[in-house]
Amino acid sequence: MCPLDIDLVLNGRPARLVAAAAVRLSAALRDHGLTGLKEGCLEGECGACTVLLDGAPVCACLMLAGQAAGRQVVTVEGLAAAPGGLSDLQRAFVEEGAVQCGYCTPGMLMAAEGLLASDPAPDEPAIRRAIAGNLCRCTGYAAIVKAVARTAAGRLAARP
Amino acid sequence: MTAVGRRHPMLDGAAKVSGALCYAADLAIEGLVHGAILTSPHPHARILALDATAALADPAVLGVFWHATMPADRYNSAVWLEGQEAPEDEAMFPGTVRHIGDRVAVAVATSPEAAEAALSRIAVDYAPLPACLTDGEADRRRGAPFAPDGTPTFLNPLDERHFRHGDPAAGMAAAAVVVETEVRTPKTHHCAVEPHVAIAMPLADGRIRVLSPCQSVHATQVVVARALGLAPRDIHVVKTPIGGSFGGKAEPVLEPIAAELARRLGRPVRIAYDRRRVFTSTRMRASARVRIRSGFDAAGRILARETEALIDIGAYATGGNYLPGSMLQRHVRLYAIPAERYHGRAVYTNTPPTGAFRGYGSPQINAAGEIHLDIAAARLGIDPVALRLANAIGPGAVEPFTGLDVGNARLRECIAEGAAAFGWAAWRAAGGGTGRIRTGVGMAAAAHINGCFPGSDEATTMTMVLGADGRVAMVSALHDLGCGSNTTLAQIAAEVLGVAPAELRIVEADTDLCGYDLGTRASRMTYAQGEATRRTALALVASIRAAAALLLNAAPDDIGFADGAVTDRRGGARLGLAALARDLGGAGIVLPAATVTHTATANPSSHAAHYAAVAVDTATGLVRVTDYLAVHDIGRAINPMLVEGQIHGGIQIGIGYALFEDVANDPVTGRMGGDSFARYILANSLEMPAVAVRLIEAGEPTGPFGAKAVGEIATIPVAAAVVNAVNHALGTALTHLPLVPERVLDALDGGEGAPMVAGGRG
Amino acid sequence: MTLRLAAPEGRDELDALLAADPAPTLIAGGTDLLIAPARLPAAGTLVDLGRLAALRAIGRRDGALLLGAGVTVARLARDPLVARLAPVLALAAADFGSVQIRNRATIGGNIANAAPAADLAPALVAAAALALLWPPGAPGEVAVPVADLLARRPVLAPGEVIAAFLVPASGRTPRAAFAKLGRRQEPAIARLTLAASGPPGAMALVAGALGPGPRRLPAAERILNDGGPGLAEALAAEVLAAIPGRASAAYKARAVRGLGEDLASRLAAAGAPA
Repeated sequence: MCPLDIDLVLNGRPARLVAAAAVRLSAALRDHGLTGLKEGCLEGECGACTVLLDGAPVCACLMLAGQAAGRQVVTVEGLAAAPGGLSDLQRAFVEEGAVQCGYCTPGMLMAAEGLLASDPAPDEPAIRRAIAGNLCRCTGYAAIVKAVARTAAGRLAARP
Repeated sequence: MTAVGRRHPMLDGAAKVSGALCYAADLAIEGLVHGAILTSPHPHARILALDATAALADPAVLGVFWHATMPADRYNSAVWLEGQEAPEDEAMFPGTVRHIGDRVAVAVATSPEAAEAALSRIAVDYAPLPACLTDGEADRRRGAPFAPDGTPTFLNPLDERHFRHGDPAAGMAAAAVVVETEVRTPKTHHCAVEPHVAIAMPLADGRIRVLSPCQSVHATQVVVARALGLAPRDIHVVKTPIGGSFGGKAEPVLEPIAAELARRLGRPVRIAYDRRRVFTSTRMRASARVRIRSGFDAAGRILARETEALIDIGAYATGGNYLPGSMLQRHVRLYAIPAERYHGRAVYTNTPPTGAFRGYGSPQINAAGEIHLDIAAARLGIDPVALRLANAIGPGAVEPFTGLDVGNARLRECIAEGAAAFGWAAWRAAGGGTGRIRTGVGMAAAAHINGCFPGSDEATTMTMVLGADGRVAMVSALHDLGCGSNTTLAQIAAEVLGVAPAELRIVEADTDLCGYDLGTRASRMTYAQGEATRRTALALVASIRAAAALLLNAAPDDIGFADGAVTDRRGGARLGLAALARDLGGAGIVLPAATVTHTATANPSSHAAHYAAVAVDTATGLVRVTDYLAVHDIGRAINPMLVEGQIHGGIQIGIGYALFEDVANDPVTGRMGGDSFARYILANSLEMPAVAVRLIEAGEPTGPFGAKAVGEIATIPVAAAVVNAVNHALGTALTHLPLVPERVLDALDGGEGAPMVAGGRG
Repeated sequence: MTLRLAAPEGRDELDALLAADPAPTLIAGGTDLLIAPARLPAAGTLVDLGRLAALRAIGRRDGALLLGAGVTVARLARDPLVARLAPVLALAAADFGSVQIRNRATIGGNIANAAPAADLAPALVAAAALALLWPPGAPGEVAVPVADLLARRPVLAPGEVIAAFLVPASGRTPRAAFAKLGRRQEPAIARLTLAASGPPGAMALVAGALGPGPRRLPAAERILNDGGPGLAEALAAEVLAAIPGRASAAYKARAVRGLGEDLASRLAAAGAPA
């Protein structure tokens, strides 16, 4: 196997992934130590591998690592402002009971962040649509929707 | 109450949202090698020969193993005790495969890709055998499931249960109306987002360590030992964080193989299933065909009920022999029926094996019973809620099968308060219509157990220790499935100790550290483990007071304890736990500890009534659940947020059971139609209705702070509530789940599920 | 002897890669190709079309709408030019998969993969779109109606690349509607889709997931355009004619009535174009 050097911006910093041509971006990121994203199905149906690619939510399992060259990728590890901290969205998930087993959570957070970046005031149907590609078997989604709505409201209120 | 009743966030929530929590597949292990499982393309076949030469040509491939080179001892993956009697019909790699997806061989390589690639280079010679793919066919293959020498024959039934109570014939004869239905429930899959995975490694002391997202480290230890021909003490099992289980990770599937490979190769081995293999090669919910015949008096009282259940448990027994009895126990807990006859049978088919799945028999039997009652209500011209109330058990009722007292049963309150809160009467009057979209409402009641009593193993040992840093460690066979049970138990301990729940140090299940326990199953966490926690915390308080008395040269009665601190009643001095631990250490006094083994002495019922509103598109057959109310007799909600979370999640699974989910094993080929998330449809965020939850906290005297279980009952009445709503909307009598669009339209066209009463809706 | 990934940035680079490897594997968004088990070849070249800027353009050519084959479904769903000139494509794109899939899937990929349930296929055919192909080892482009392209087996010859789609456009925004039937709301694999597009009274009506490729429904189309009764019956007849004897035929013949009703009401709601 001839691994490629893949230079990209990862969680705001220049980084290099090393992966063979056939390796999925999800596997390359996880091998790079970013094990927050999960591989739940490898067919883009469960959304547990969701990352932001140039700000847009995508399933990292349906991308080759090499396709991320020169792009900006954000994973769940890149959400907090400081190491060991939590973003407002992450805190809302914890406090609203939007996390149970936690396996869908990183992907869910990225899908939600992707939504809030493009729609800062989403109504409930818009939130549900934004996470329609993220499967959760634990929460029934209600607490997740609540956490996203609360975060959106908080960010709007905090605007100068 | 400082901790009990609080909406405390999950203790490991921060680790989960940051992505820092390492699940088994996230662990970086030095020298790890990877196993990939080759599975059978045939539903039934003898393996004649296997040639791995081509696979082994790759230097990255360390070995290929199959039944000729792996231990062939048969075991049962559902046992939980050493020496437990169980149908032992499964082998790690059988010589005759019994379902599509059955294990044929394992390739071990230095990377997961190389192991997977090796599989296509393994040549296997199969001699296909006739396959039994339907419950009807299985029912005809009669014989003893085991030969006298213990060899499995896979003849049927595996288990058969008869029960009679009162005089059913007399009851039927006296009945004003007799109603008969047959309800069919499908095989569905847990679909936990974390796929199955197991890691095993050889230890310097000669043992094998297994890391697994399991529901019982002790069960895993016992099964792995049995499969490998070792003693349980040769296996060390540690639970890893679980990304969802719902019963799917209750039985060791990959662990025995990983352990044997670790032992054989002297290296750490990981076997991780992809999603397809999780569908075809782990466990799933058994399907059931349940015929119920009930005789009612004119007022709707059930005078007699006859139930016939045929349960398809798949290729191997696992715990399937318990299903006929389990279903019976749940079936007779809900209504006071003076005469009852039950006949349940579990049969083998050449389809993937079944196992525990949230409710374990209850979802099937509840769906059958509650759909039956609604159809009866329509025939009788009685409102479905009134029909439930006319028959529901009350507090202190004795369940006729096991003789157990159901405890402070608030079933009637669930039903009645639910109907009022939901606006049942108005919905009921408004439903149906003749337009394209028709609305309807339905409800279902349920009862479920709390733990395994009177099973003799329903005992839990917990140790609490005050650490030198002042934090209390809780050591027990704790298996949080992701449901928040650790947080719930921490709140119980925190309430007694007067500390914050986050102050407790929870040590999850590890066979080296904790006493024997059944694990997380049978709705025993809050009720049984929770009571063990409460008692252990009380014992720790006594130990703390005694140690403080020693330290302060006081009599035991001079020392009080409250709000996480000891008080010297003589002078009023207070010593927090951190300061106390420090001072005890300085004085050379043993730090306080307590170990309590709690054996449950009761098994009350938790109850629920669920109400669903649906909108059915009569042109396409698609059903949307639009509104939902779940009312639960929970005794006491230790953490209402976690309780609600369980209920919401249970509703998602139940809606799938009613409308979408079916592994769809083809009755001719045995191939699974729903073996990926593209084809196995789950209710996603858009399919979930607005859900309201109402908790009735009337206290259960035998539960910790009055608490009862919610984890399984959360999902039990959902399917029937939804199906009943559809039948109300359409005037149909659909009884074959899931209600896929084809079935809905068939019923509207006068086919299966068409109205039993001409033009009738109750 | 290993697989290599190359992402050409211009046509010359692409041509050189295609010349060097007789049977290259092309990847665009990856949302079809990488679905497990994703049997990628062990050797040869995997050509990533994602860096060809020409394939990402949305614009006009001689009045027609020009869509690069690499335009994502998400862009298709929100682009104002598409909404004005070929709204049926925007409607089909909006119903396509989940947000994650829409952000990666491309028009070219959806057509090249040619799944019977491909969501964009009936919409492109209803819009009378042409596929513009770059022939292997030759300059220029070849225009093929999308319906014809999808009837080919295989859809693309080795080394053939879909470069763009050309959608005829007039001065007026065409009437358009799209309706899709799945096993749940969304995301759902299409069991049946209806796409309508065209000037009032002369719309094309095309079904998807009703056979191997998109299928024009002439009888139902006439009724839809004339506004007469019997649309549901005509659709049902078309379904039975398209998939006789298939297990799903009875259900689809029934369900298509609902889909037709949805299509008609969406057309009515959209009103007459400006």
